[in-house]
Order: sequence, then C-alpha cells, then structure tokens
Amino acid sequence: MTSQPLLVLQDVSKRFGPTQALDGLDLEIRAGECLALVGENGAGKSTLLKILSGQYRPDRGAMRFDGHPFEPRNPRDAIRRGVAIVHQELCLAPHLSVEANILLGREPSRLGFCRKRKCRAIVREILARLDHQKLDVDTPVGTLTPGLRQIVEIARAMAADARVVLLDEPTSSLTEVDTQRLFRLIDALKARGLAVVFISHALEEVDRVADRIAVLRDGRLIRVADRSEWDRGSLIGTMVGRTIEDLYPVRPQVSFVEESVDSPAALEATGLKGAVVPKGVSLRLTRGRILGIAGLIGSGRTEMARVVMGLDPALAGRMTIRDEPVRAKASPRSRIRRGLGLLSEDRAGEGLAVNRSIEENMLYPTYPRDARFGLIRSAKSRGRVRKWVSSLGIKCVDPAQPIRDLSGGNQQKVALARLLEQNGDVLLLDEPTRGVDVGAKAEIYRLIREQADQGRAVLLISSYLPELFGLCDDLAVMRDGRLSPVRPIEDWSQEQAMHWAATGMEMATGSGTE
Amino acid sequence: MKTPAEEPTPRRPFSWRTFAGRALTTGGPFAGLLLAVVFFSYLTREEGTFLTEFNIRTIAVQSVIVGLAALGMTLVIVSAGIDLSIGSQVALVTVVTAVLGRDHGLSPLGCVIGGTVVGTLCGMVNGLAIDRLKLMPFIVTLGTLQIYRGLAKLLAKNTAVHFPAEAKPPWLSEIMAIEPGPKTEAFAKSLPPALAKPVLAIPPAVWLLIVMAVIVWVALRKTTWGRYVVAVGSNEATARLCGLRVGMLKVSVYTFCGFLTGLAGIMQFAEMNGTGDPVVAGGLELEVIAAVVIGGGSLAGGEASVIGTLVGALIMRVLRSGCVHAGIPNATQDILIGAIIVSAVALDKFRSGLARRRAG
Repeated sequence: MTSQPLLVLQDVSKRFGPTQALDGLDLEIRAGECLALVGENGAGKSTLLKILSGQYRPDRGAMRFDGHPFEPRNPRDAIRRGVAIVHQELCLAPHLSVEANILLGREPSRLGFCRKRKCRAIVREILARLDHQKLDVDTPVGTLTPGLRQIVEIARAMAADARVVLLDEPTSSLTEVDTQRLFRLIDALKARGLAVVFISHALEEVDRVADRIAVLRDGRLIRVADRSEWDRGSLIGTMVGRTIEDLYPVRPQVSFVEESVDSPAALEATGLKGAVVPKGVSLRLTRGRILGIAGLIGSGRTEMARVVMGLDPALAGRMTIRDEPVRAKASPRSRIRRGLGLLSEDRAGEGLAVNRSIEENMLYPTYPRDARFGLIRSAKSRGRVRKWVSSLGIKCVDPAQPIRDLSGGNQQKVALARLLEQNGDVLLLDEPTRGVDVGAKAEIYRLIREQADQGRAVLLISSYLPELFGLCDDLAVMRDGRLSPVRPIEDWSQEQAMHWAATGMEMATGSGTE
Repeated sequence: MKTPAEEPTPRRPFSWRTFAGRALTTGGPFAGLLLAVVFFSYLTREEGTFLTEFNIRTIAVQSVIVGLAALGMTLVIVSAGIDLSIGSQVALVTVVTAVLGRDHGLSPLGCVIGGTVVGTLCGMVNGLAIDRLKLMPFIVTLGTLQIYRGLAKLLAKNTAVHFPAEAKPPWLSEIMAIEPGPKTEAFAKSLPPALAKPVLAIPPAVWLLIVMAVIVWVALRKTTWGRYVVAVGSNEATARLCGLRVGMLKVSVYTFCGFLTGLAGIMQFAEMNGTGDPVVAGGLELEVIAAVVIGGGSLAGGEASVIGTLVGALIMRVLRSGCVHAGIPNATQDILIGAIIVSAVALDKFRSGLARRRAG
C-alpha cells in the first residue's frame, strides 16, 4: 500500500452564520487508501466532503492536490481536477439509461452526434474495471436497485478519471448484499491507486473497509490514526468525548407529579407502523416528563413523529390520548384539537411558510380566536404576536416581516410560539435546535423544560446526544425503525446510546465480549 | 441568559434596494397603467379620441368580463392552483342562461341565477376533482376546459341560443351598456342627488366589478379563510402541519372562482344581447391568467393582489383600445400584449429579487 499524500488540507475552516462547521482542519488523503470520516451528526464530515468536491469554498486554509494548489470553484471544476463525489441522495437522471448516465456531459461525439460504438466501448471498459460487466447498459437507471445505482454513480466518477472518490454515507440505503459488493468495489479502487474517502455511521463498516480513521467533533479533527490503533471503545469515546455544559436547565428535584398514580398517559402508542419506518414502535408519554429519542439520521424518528401527528398514514398500531383512542385516519387537525402539536425538523420546507409574515406563521392554527364571523380583528392578532415576540425575545422589526428575514434561531422561536399558542399538552419536538446558535439554544432548552414543568408531556427528537442527556428525563434510541427500551436518563451513558444507534444492540458491559 | 428587555429590537437600516423593491411591488402595475395611458394619449394626440370620457367608459366596461373572472383566478393562483376552464365555463353559462329562458320559460332573474349556479358548480367540480383525485390543477382543468365546452355545444346543439325577445327585460341590454340607459337613469333619479352622481358616472357592469373586487379583497385579506388560502399556496406542508383543512380550502377556492366566472358569463350573455353562444370566450382563460400575472401574481402561489389583478386587466384593455385609436394593426397588438406579459413577469422576478435581499 502506498502512502503518497495525494490531497493535503491545511487549516481548512468554514463557518455558516453562527455555526463553525469546520475549524482549522489539517488532513492528508493518500493514494491507494480508504480514509473513513466518523463523528456525530453535525461534526463537520459532510461539510468537509462538500469543500473537497467544490460545493462549498472554505473561508480559510489551503488545499493541495498532487502538489498543486487545489481550489475547486464548483463541483464541475473539482471533477475536472480529479475529485468526484458520490452523493447520499443519488444524483442520477432516472429516465436515462445506465450508459447515458455514466457518460452524461462527456459523451464522445463528432459534430454533435454521439459516437455510439465508442460510448459503448468506454462504458463496458469501465464496468469491467469495476467488475460489473453484467450490468445492462440500456436499462433506465430509475428501474435499478439503490445498490446498482450507486455502482453507476461510481462508474460515472471513473469515466471522469477521478483520482479521489468521496462517498457520503454510501451504505445508508443499501441492502447487506449491495453493501458487500460496494466494499469489494472500494478494494478494487484502492488497488488501482485511487483514494477513497468514506463517511459512515456504522462502525462495523468502518472496521471492514477503512485503512485510516479520522474522528471529527464540533468541526475539529480530534484524531486520525490507522485502523489498527483504534478499538470500538476508543472510537466511540472520541466521537462523543464531551461533558454536558451548563447550557441546560436544572431538572426539578420533584418533577411534576401526576394527579394520581393511575392517571392516564398523555399519549400512548402501541405497535405503530408507517409505510417504511417506523416498524412497530410503542411508547408512552407522561405529563411532566421529557422523553428523548436518539438515533441516526434516517433511523425513522421523524417518520414516527409524523405518523403520531397523522401527517403520514399509520399502517398498523393503536394510539390513545388520555386513554381515549385515536382513529388511525384522524386528521392532523383533529389531533391538534386533542392537544397534540408537532415542531417540524424541516423548518423551511414544512415548518414555516417562509414568504409569509411572522404573525401569519404564528397564528395559522389559532386565527379563529381573533375572528368574528370569519373577519380577523387584527388588533387582537397583533397583541398575541407581540406577547410572544417579547416573552421569547424574537428579534424582528415588525410582526408583518416575512419569516425569511429572520435568523434560524428566531425562525425556530416563531415555530415554537405557534406550538405553545395551540396550548396542547403533548409536544412532539423534532430537532428543535437544528441550525440555531448557542444563545438561542439555551433559551429553547429553558422553554422546553418549562413546558414539562407546567405539566405538558414532551417528546424530544435530537441527533445531538449532549442535548438529550442535558434535557431529558427518559431516553430511547431508534435504529432502523425500531425503538430500544425506554429507560430513565440516569441508566444510559452517551456511549451506550451511540452504540445502540450504530448497532441496534446493547453495549456489552465492562470489557466483556460482544 | 439575555432577557428580552435588554435586547432592543434592531432597526433595519434603510436601503434603496429594498425601498425600490417595495415600491415596485405596490406601485408597479399602476405605473405600467399610467405609462400605457400616457403613451397612447401622446400617440393619438392629433385625433384626440383616446382620452375621452366615452372611451374611458368603454375601456372600463370591456374590462368587466375579464376582470370578474380574474378576481376568481386571483384566489386560485394565490392558492398555487390554476383554472384553465374559465373560457369554457363562460360559454356554458351563456348557453344555460339562454336555454333556461327559451325552453323552460324561467323569469329573466331566474335564468341569471341559474347561469351563475352552473358556473359555481363548474368551479366546485374542478375543486373536488383536484382534491379527491389528488391531481394537478393544470391537468384537471385542462380536461374540464374540453368537457365544459363540449357540454355547452351539446346543450346549444352547436348553434347560438337566443333568449326570447319578448321576455327580454330592459336591464339586460343596459347592464353592459356604456352610456346609462333609461332604466339606470330612472333608478338614479330615485336616489338622493349625492348618490345619483356616482351611479350615473360609473356604468352598472363596472359597479358589479367594483363590488365583487371589494368582497374578494376582504375575503382574501381580512378573513381567516383568506389567510388560510394564502398559507396553502405559500407552503401546503405548513398548512397541513397547522391543522388547516387543505382539501376543503381548495374546493372552496375553485367554487368561489366558479361563482365569479359565472357572473362573467352572465355579463358575456348580456353583452351579446341575450345570446347563449357555445363558442364564445375561447382563450379567455389566458387573458385572465395574464391579468393576474401582470398584477403581481406568482404562479408558484402565495402571492397575488386583487388590486393588481384589476390593474392588470385594465392594462390589457388600454393597450387594445389604444392600438385601435392609434391605428396599430391587430397583429401588432398581439405581439405588444405578449411582450408586456413577459416583461411584466421579468420585472416581477427582478423586484422580488430586490425585496428578498436582506438589508443589513
């Protein structure tokens, strides 16, 4: 194995508004090796790949490719220089054939006409190199399995003569068989002297393919070393490696006491099934307590919340609110009336109508309160908005200002204000602090704690473990559409939660076998 | 942790860009209208026939049919929908109104109500098909464009249907008249003089348009229903998340649009002096969409203005009339109007780019 540095990064940094996504990163990527990037969600792995592939430009720092300065202006430029990315969400034209996709943009042509025989020859040669000669090059890509589509993506990188191939969570949508096939392909690429950079959350996969492992946390490179120097424990410890700061409000010594021991659960779900995920989830929300749901992106947490809210259909399972059954077909509207409320993780896409005003976004569910015969009495609406603007400290010029003018944290406060104005007693919060700066985070945490202390039941979905450990009373981890047992937060450690998220199994206690 | 009291609300620094963006948003269509009027007044300064009271009244009355339908289309477009069946609906309404009078002996008022109800039903059918079949509004109304036109032809047996002359009420010919007729004058006389003046100054059809515009404006801007319709157009997922009855809202929007189109059909019927014509108003929907778009409506939804739409409808009428008075041939008129539509939208994109840029 050669250890020639092919791509060298020095002090690469990138900032998005208040978030330092990458902070002074120094890293070498060597020809003929597979480098795995691991870290929690938001550690900066994807940002790094996007900088390498030319989608983002670093604020600071330098990159050298094969000894020459490397400053890709856009993905096209990066590919031309020999760095190709295979995306998490595959970017292929589903209606075009395998051949057309592999050669898209670089078809050998004469006078604008595609030279068919030459096209065919090039594609066959590439697929042979990847050991996939049997793939039918005339099939439309849309009909292929996700695994084969990935092969097509990699073939496309090969057609571009890539020397560095970046794989962003390539296995997240693959079956076991396809995953094994991909790993053989990565071995083949390495043997040809290419460098492969690979992001994965599944640590057993990292063990299988990586030659070196780099751990990122909070935008910094914590440690990079050969695979043999890591073990599972040190890897997880390095990934999490952080203590909970006093960003989090104090848990009440005596938490909200239920009126009586046998009072009904605020919400109870049994065997809840969605179209793909969740695959049969049971949970119980209690007034006065915050239940945290940890798990990796794509594990089905958002889908679970959507099924509970009635936004996506439930294929199986029962739900009750205070022991009263909820019909499977009950609309989101009727569930809101019974006290449910959801804060969407997709703020711009679903949570808020970004072109509309603060007032409208805050009051959509509750406008009828200000209306007489359908006519809105705007003085009353304004009053309600002003109350929230001042009590949550929403920084804005005017409630009539469109949402898109606000910062992420202030947008989130508007969405939260809407939820609180609904005055329901079950709050489903999906990534409530995503894209929010630290100051606003602390305020949002305080607000969530207050709601629980006032007797509301809270479900808190988060990809950020310290947040869950700082705020929740109980915790469960979701993996592949299924939920771990719910346990009080004291009975979990961050390592155990991370282990469950990555493997779906209990971490072996002590230094015993797995 | 900062308390809100320590946090003064930041003032947005003044910026010419945002100011220009805002000004273009609210004043754009008006400026366009003014420009068109000034331009044609200058072109026809020799003849002096353009900027006369009679011609202004003519333009206003001629805008009524497009204007009424465009009010409905404003609601549809603000909800991120489209209705291509408007022209066919108008034709069907004229035919139904005439057939009710000729073959069923209904009173004139009954015929008018019947025609309007049919228009409303057409809209409701559009809305229900879009909601229940989960189809794109474009596809559904492309289909009903053909269906309603076919129904009109079927009902009229492919020829014009004439309302019986002996049953024709005098107001039928007066409602779309440019100069006040005897019935209108008699009505004005019965009013106190302060009211009589505006009643005579503005033709009856234009009054109808104004009243409807006020109703639509109030519905869109001042009611919960209006807020919800805008929410659906701006972000349907958000509307669902907030527990709004998205399906019901869509059906109500298309139904309301159908009602206004029904009124436009009645006006068309009156303009043709009580004739139901199954081939009338072909392509009207395009003119209607153009009016909404020139007035600042976005086909992506969430944006459209009632006043803008009316001005948009007027601009097109002014162009047509101005061209006639200036002796510009019909072919040139078409090219001119097409160019206006494209540049209006281009200007709109430019100004929303200005307004969207965050100041400071």
